[in-house]
Amino acid sequence: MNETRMEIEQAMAGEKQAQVVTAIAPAKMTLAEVRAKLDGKSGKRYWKSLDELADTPAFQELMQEEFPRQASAGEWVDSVSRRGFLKVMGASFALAGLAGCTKQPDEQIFPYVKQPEDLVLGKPMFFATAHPFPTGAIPVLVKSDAFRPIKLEGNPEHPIVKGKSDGFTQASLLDLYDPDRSQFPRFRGEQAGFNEFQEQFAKAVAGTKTGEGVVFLSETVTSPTLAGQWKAVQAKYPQAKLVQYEPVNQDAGRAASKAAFGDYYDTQYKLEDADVILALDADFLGGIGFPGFLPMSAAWAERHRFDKDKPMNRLYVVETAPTVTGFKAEHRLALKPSEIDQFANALTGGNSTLSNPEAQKFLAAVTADIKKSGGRFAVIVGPGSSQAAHAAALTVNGSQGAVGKTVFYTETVVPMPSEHVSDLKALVADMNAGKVQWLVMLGVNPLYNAPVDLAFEVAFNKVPNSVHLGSHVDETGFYSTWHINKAHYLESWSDARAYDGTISIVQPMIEPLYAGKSAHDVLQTLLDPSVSAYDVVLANAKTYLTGGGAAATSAAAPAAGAAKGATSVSPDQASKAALGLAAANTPFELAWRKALHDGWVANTAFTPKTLGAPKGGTTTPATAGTGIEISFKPDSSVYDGRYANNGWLQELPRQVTSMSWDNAALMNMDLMGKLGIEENEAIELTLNGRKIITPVLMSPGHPNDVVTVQLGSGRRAEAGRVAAGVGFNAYSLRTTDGPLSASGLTIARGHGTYDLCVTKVHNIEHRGAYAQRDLEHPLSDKDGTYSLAGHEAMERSIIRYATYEEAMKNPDFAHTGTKDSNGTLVNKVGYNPQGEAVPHEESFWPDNWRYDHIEEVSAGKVLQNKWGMSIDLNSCVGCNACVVSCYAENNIAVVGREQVKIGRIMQWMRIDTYFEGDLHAPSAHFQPMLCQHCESAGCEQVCPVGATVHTPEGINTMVYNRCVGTRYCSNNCPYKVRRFNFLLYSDYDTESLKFMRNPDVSVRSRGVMEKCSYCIQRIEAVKIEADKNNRAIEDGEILTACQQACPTDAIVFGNLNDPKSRVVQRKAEERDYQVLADLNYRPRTTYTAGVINPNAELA
Amino acid sequence: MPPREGVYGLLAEFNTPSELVHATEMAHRAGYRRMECYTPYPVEQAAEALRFHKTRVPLLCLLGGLCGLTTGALLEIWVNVWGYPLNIRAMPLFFFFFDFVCWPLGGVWHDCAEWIAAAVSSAVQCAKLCEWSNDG
Amino acid sequence: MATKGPVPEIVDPMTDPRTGEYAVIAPGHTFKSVTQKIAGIVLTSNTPVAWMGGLFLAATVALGVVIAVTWLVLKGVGIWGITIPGAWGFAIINFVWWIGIGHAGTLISAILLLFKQTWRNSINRFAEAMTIFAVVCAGMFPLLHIGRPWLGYWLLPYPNSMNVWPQFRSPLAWDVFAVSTYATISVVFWYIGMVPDLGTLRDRAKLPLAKYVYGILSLGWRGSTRHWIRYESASLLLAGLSTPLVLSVHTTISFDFAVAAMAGWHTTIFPPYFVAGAVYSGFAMVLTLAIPIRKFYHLEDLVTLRHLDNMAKVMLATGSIVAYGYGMEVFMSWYSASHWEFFMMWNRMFGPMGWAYWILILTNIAIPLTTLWSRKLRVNVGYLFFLSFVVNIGMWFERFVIVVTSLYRDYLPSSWGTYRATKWDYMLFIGTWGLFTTLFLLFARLAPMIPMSEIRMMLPQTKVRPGGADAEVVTQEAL
Repeated sequence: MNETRMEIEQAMAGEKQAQVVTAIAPAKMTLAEVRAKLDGKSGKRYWKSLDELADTPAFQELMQEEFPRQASAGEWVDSVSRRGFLKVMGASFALAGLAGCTKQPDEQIFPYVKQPEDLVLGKPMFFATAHPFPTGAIPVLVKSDAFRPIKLEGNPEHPIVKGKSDGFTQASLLDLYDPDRSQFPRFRGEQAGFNEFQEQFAKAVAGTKTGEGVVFLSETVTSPTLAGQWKAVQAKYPQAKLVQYEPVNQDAGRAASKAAFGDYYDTQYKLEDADVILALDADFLGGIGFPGFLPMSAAWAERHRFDKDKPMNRLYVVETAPTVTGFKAEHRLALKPSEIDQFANALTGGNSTLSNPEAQKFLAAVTADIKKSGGRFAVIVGPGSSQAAHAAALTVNGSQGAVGKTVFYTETVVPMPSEHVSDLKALVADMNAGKVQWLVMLGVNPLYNAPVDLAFEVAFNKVPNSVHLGSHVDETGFYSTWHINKAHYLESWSDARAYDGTISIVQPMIEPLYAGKSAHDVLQTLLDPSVSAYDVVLANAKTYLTGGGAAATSAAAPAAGAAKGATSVSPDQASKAALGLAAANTPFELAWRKALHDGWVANTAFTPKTLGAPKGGTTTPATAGTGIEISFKPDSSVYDGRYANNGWLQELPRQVTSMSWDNAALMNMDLMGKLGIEENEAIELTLNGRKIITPVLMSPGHPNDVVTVQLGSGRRAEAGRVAAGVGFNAYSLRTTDGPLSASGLTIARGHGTYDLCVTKVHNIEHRGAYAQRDLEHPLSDKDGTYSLAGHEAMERSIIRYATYEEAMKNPDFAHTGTKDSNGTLVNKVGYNPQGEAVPHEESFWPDNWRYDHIEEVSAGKVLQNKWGMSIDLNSCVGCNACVVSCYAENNIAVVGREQVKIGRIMQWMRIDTYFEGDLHAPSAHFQPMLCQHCESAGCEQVCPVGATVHTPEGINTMVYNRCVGTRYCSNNCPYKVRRFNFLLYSDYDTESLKFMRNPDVSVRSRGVMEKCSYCIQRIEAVKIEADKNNRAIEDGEILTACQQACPTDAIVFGNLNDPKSRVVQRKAEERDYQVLADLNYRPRTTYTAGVINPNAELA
Repeated sequence: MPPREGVYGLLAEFNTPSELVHATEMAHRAGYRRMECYTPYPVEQAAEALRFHKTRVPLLCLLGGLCGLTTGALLEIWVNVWGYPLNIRAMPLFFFFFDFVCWPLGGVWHDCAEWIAAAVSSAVQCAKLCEWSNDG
Repeated sequence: MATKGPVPEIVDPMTDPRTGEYAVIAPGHTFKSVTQKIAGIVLTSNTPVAWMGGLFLAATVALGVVIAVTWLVLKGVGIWGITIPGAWGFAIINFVWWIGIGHAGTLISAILLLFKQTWRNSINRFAEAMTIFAVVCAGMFPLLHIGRPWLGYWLLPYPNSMNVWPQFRSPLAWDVFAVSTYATISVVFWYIGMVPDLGTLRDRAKLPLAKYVYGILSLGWRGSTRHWIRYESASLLLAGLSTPLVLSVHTTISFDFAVAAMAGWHTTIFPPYFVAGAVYSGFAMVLTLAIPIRKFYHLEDLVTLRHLDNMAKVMLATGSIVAYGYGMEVFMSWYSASHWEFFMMWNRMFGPMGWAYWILILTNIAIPLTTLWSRKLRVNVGYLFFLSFVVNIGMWFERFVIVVTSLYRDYLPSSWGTYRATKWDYMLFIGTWGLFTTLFLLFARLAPMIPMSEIRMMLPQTKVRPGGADAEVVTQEAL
């Protein structure tokens, strides 16, 4: 196999070697030859050649060898085999016609699984790499089809990630194929070469001798190698500077850490051992914007599972804008930012009493609970928490004994921690003073997102040479002297640390589509431009890999040079090593290869540091402001704006608000009522004389007298076709003084209306106190302070839950109901109490189609498969990772704002959010909703052409080819999970998007209904594999895309006929229930009712 | 065809239907059989007088309807039960009770086809008749 | 039948002095006058200017269909206001509405024939024409509303290379049979019924082309007794066949809703209530057409107040059935104790689209069912004309309420939505009015609108007296 591999490698490297390849393996045709035959032909001639090619004996021999089952004689007439052939041919087109842009990188990378190492067309390969993110890298496993990355999953063997992932990571795949990416370097807007830049830049910097006036403004440096390179640059040019700036940063935490311990430290939480958790404006269940999201949400969910023998944890959240964390909490306290500071101060034992009695009560309860826990608690703070909150967390975690049990301090995940805003402030002062000659911006976009009071654009104009490395010619790139197109992380070599400090090598999956460069290349310009990023990473790896020695401890560049030298001395050996063909000669090579294969390096995790008691005690919090405050939050979908041009994320309904394609000023009903504002009205926010106009969205549970705005929208036209013109730019109110919140906001009406795009209960759920009339129960709720949809969700038993005590008393509460304090049954539905499934004997034809067929396979007789799913509502945190994963897996189309607004979003899966109770302080429930694969599926009965039918294994399938589009099935689906291509939504034209598509899933055209298929392509792939190996499918072998992504393991899929499978065990729980069960559709997807663990004192 | 000699037929015009019927009845009693009345609207009594009141069209229609009904039913049974036994909403294969609505409809449709055929054949017949009478 | 009103003191020649009933046909007509009157409309060489203007206007509106359909085929059904959850909108509403309108024609021509209601003769021809044109308009919608209209033939059972057949458990598959049968039999019935009159036109036409065309169409009709007997038995048979269709077509269409599991759709009352509603709207449409036509072509002698009165009475009866249906829906939503039904009805009445429900109640129940009891209003041509529009609007809203307000607030609150029709919805809908009117105007000009032979039958002269004894008396009367 290795030989074959080499052939392909070489063939990929150059045309000429294709001949050599045939010489080595004359018996069969190689793919390279296939490519050579087809090369340079297009249109009719291409197809003609293809036909000729298919007829040649050599090709058929190749087919025989690679696909004996499909190609065996006589089977060509069979339609299935023909389809298989077409599939094979389709994959080879990708290679044949497009080799120019999709090919494996020249350097050796190692497939995740051992066999087959070779490329087998139509068979995906998996490679490990990592998604670098400012809060810690997410190690991923990339599914690569014919060297095109088509899906990202969490690395299953990584100690932190454990195969889970998140929305940003999933969606970063689309960023790779974004057709709006910058495709070439530019000099003053004109196309230029990277080498020209290198010459010019290196010469200029060399001219300064000391590097004076050269400043690198970088996004957070996540790569230890890059940090090493910077050290080398600094050694060479001591006056050069590096400033890191992220608009969403951890400044407050850094400052608090410095004040308390004298240095920057990261906090790691081990929530497995925490009985009580208090999150102070820390959205740790919301996504990777919070460091350690994956392990923390997994640990929280594990401890939040209902188990009679295990105590359940309890989560308190004090926050401003409602987040998923807040709504998953047992108790949520909504406070203004200034009140949170006061709360934090009071928490540390400061003698100030809180003016807000509700907060006082909350504080007392939390304090008591923390004391009771005996150190088994954690006060969580994060990037969104203020410095006062951070200081309080350090103090309380220390004084109450959480440190060492659930809270650990380690060195920072990022190699060069800093306080971003103050650094940027100093840099802008330098720029204004004319001290900066070269401003090299690595992946940042300060003209868009720098604090507005710095007037960065003014300072920017005073810099003679500006360089911008970015994936897009964005707001900054457009005005910079030099723009260099940045390589995506899936195209480049680097490394990064995960939350626990484990190092992962970032290895490229694909040759850069547009020959993009990375920050490594830019820094290397000042060192040795001939050394590639790969060499640098390899050299730096010697500092942490076994067998690396101490060669490159101080500076990466010499080491890189050494590596380079080594290759030039002994090219034979080097190429062998690089290709990984020869047995690994040295321990380092072994370790390197293992690191690439595994996707992480063992024993590189941080060890906790023992620090003394935090110094400084409490900071004096600002007195609670009387005016209206404003709170700035990164957007849950586009983060700080970096994902603004990502259609999947823009269209993804934001957590909690379900707002798609927009951002808005979030406020509560009282403030809206006070100001007379109605929903969807455009208002003017004024802060310190700066104004923006924004639409208003009522946010249930938002505290009064504060407005929350999400960062990351309002990008200008340069940002790309998707991002341009979406929402408003909240950065234009954000200053260095108040990066998290500020007071003194004024609001003015009279700017017309702006129709927001909200997916959930379109324009129904959201309203101000004025817009209630026809939406509400006019008889019982004249003020409109509760949500009709949420109320109905309870009435209809769509959401069922109980408290821990109730569940202990009556474990069958999901079916028999819970009694309220008056003894009356709550959660009951109409005539069929509890919305229970129709008893078997009352059903018309319950056993007509059975799924207990005994199948005869070569291994013996086995019970057939019967697929089903279970979703644990206790664990689902509504983070949307599953939804984005489904986008990538199933080639789901992005439809755009206008279509989403009228209800035509195409997501096969969605997170339903229901608000329960008074909308001033509601509780919310998240429910992932996808095709329920009903056994008695109403959709099937009403389809006049039989386009949706049941498979023998009980999956409700959709036959796209047969669908004529009557949409009757959608009408008859009570779960409304079917999606219709009202227009031609799929993009058939953009070349780069074609590479991204999953070849196992059809791209649906206009006029066709589509829906969740339980990832049938994954089921079939595993079935084929099991068949080939003559064995049964093991439980857990098939993971649906949503299940695989879910960070909290809320979704379990499996064989209902396998009594040992997890899904059967989940469904056997008493809390398992069907949504809308009384309709007798018999859904295969069921839900596990939630259990919460509230504190009786706060009830 | 050579012109025929002698009296071929007799033609009479009446002002009222009563006279027409009476005359026809009398002629029939007198033993005339190859007679025809022409009226601007249907006069049933004239037909009685002519002793012409039976056609086989209703029978044809019934047979056509039954034929359509049987075809429709057999087609559905074959498609659902033998040809393509699909699992549709976990229903029994022969479960298309509501379809009985379609069967009579299928029969009716078939009847329409019969009727078009009948109308055309009647037209042809009329045309022949015309031809024949033009001879005279 | 006999409505007791004050017997007018001055005897109107149009009323029966004994009963006060209006005559079905004005006295004094002879075979010749009837024929001249009706055939004259078709055979005149002076096309009325108003007709030309009307045709131009209607054809212009009908152009909307062409534009809307072209754009629809180019872009897809997404140009309409349909969404998830409201996946059906104007297309289905219009389909049901138009099909319903057709029912009056079939009822008049078939059921009233079987019941020997001779008053139907004056109006049955154009009522049948209305049926056919309404079916043309209706038939367009199911085809256009599907996502891939070019594959509409997949709903037909035919052997094909893909070896797939329609799914016979779906009401939509039944619709195909129901509507195609209905269209076929309506056309056959209409045409067979017209054959004697086409013969008359052939005989009276002056233009060679007209002679030729009517000659072909009249299938060699000569009016012999044998022809008449065949014709009569054909009419009876077709009436027998059409009678179940009156009930079955709208029953099948109601199954589109009743078979689905949506609250507001899933109800057994739909078949009768749909059929009654169909007849209700159909008679309203007959009035909408009859009133201007009898005025324009001076046909008051043949389409008399008696007809209008009778149609109004049918409307009163069917409207009452419809009202009962609405009442039952409300009652059942409470009596069923089903949360789904209750919420659906509450939302239908008081939800965001409650206005549609109250328009429906106002136009279908409140206005017609209070006023139609009055004989004065029943014979008030102007009021009836107004009322016919009111009822047609009401019946359109009935379908709107059923389709939209059931769908947009369904089982899962998370997927609730709203429905807002787009300009393309309106263009296609209004376009079908134009199409309908165009076809009807052409029919009025080119075919005998009122069956001459059947009107002749109603004249007193047709009475056959035994033995031909009173021939002279009759002859004198006839002259």
